[in-house]
Amino acid sequence: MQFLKSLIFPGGLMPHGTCYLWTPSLIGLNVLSDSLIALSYLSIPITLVHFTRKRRDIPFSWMFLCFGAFIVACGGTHLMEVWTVWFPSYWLAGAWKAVTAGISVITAILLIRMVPRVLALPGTQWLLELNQQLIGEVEQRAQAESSLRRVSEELEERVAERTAALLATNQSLRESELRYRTLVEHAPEAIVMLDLDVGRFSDTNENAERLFGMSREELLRVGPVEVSPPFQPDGRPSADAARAELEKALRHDTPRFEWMHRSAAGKDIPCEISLIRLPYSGRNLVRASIVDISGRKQAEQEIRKLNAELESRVKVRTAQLEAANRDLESFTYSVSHDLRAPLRHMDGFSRILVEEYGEQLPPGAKQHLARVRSATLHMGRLVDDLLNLARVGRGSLKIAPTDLNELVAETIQSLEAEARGRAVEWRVGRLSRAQCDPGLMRQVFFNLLSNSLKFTHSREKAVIEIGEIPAQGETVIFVRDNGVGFDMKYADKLFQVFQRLHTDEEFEGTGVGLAIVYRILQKHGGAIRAEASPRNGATFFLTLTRPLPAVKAASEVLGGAA
Amino acid sequence: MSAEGIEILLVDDSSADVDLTIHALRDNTLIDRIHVVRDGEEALNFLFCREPYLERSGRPLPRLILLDLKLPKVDGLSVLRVLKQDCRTRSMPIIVLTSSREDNDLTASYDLGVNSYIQKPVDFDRFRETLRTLGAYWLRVNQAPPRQSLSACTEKAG
Repeated sequence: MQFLKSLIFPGGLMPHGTCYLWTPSLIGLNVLSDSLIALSYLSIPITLVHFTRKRRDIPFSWMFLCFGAFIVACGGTHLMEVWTVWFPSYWLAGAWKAVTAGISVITAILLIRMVPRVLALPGTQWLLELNQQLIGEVEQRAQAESSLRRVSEELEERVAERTAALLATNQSLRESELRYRTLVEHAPEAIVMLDLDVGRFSDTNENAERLFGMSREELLRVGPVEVSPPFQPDGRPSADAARAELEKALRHDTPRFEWMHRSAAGKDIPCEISLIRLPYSGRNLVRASIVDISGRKQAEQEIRKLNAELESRVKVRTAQLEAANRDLESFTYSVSHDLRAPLRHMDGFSRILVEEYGEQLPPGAKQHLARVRSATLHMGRLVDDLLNLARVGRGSLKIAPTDLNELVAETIQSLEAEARGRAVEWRVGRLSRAQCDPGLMRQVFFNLLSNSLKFTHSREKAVIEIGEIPAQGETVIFVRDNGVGFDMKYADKLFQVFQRLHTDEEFEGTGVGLAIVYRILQKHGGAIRAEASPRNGATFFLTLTRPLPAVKAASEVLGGAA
Repeated sequence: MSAEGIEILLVDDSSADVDLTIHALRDNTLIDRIHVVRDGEEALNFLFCREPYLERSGRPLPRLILLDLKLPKVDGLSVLRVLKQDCRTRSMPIIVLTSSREDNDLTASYDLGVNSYIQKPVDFDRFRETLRTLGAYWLRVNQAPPRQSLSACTEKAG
């Protein structure tokens, strides 16, 4: 304590103010300056400490503390200067200075030692470069970020697009599903989907529910056998038959068959089923479309019944027709037999009368008898012709390949007697072979040629021509004569029975011959037509099996009159 | 009837036809050698010498039969069938002389083995001409088999 007292208040020494001669201004100047220096020196370390505490990343922070201590020490020396103006504590001041010197030396040494390390620290230029570099990097980063953003945006866009596409696909799938459902639901037939692996229906439509009288849920619990009677109408067990058909479907056939179903109410329903295997991953699905054919079956049965009825009616009718035919035949028979017999007797006895009693008869009576005979013969011919016509109508055609040339030659030969004593020129062209009834065609030629012979009677020389001409792909046969012909306005009467265009006095005839010709050709499917003019002869055109094509006027085709 | 026996058997139910036929054949001087029967049954009785023709037994058969088809009792086709199926009468010429020209009659007659089929013409002149030709042909021109009586055949009627 004594030491401290002597240190601060040493005896024997003079205060420093004495040196200033206590000049107030001088003392004031020194004291004020020292005080301000000390205050400043003391404030600096506070700032430094605050700085280092705030900036802990600053290197060599201990250096700042050294500086702090150095400055505080310096500040202390200036305080001592002020103190010593009044108190002569020169020992204390010297001690303080020694401490300050020590701190200063240490700080200086440390500072010197630190210089190379501080120099190694980056300088401002470098920092600027670094900064520049950083700016570049930042820019790059910004660019990278913007391109990243762009990519990200693109990605987002694509995601949106993809999402939209997926949505669209989904929508169309839903629509397709809906379409399919509508198709199945509103199909006119019952449709069931059969899952073969579990042996049950996996889907059905409304018609199936209606057909089987079961709800969808009920149907989905059963398979085909449960909605069928135990046996099919053909006797097969339904289970076996169903298996056989389903196996066909699995082999990708599309079997279609009749099937008896049984509704929930126990009613048997005849159906037609078609099966098809459906593509479905890993499962054996078969679609069955089922049509209720009860109506058809019933209709078939009715048709069968009607057919049977019809058949029996046809039988009855046939029997009736046969009876009628027999009647007709017996009528024809009696006409030919019973009607001709009296005619024969009339003619025969008239003849005998004239022969045996002619001398006793007055001349008029003989003439009358001649008329009786003539009338009788005419009626005989009529009966014969009518029988011929009836025979043509009644008989069936006996079609055979026929040489018409032969028929014509035979006919001309058979007319020889009638042509005898007359100048008759037959011009016979070549005729094609034909499919016809030769007997009936002989009759056709006979009637036509005998007609020609008859109607050329008044001609000095009769020219009768037979031949064929092509007309529109058809072969048309013609018979032409240079006889008396006829007026075309009566042409439609020509082929009618008993229609005659000449009097009996002019030309004998029954009016049946051409009707027979017409009937024969009609029966063959052919036709006949005549062309003529009074006194210029007549031409008959005929076809055997086809309708008659339009033939140009006879004179045009065949040239001038024969 | 002469000892030479009957030349022609005429089977016809119509007296008018019989008269006309006989008239037509008159010129052939065959009248007394024509026998007329009026139905099929009588014709068969005559030929097979049955009642009332028992006395004909052993006499030669006629050389020609003119057979109408439409006959009472047994019709012409039946008579034809019997005669052509019996070996004793088979070779006897039979000519159908009828008003009918029905295809059925023609076919049936030829199927049964008729020798000729003639439709009586309405025209008496032609009828007479036909019959004359016929008689001349079958009785004079044609060579008939040796005349025989019914018993000559050993084969039974079938």
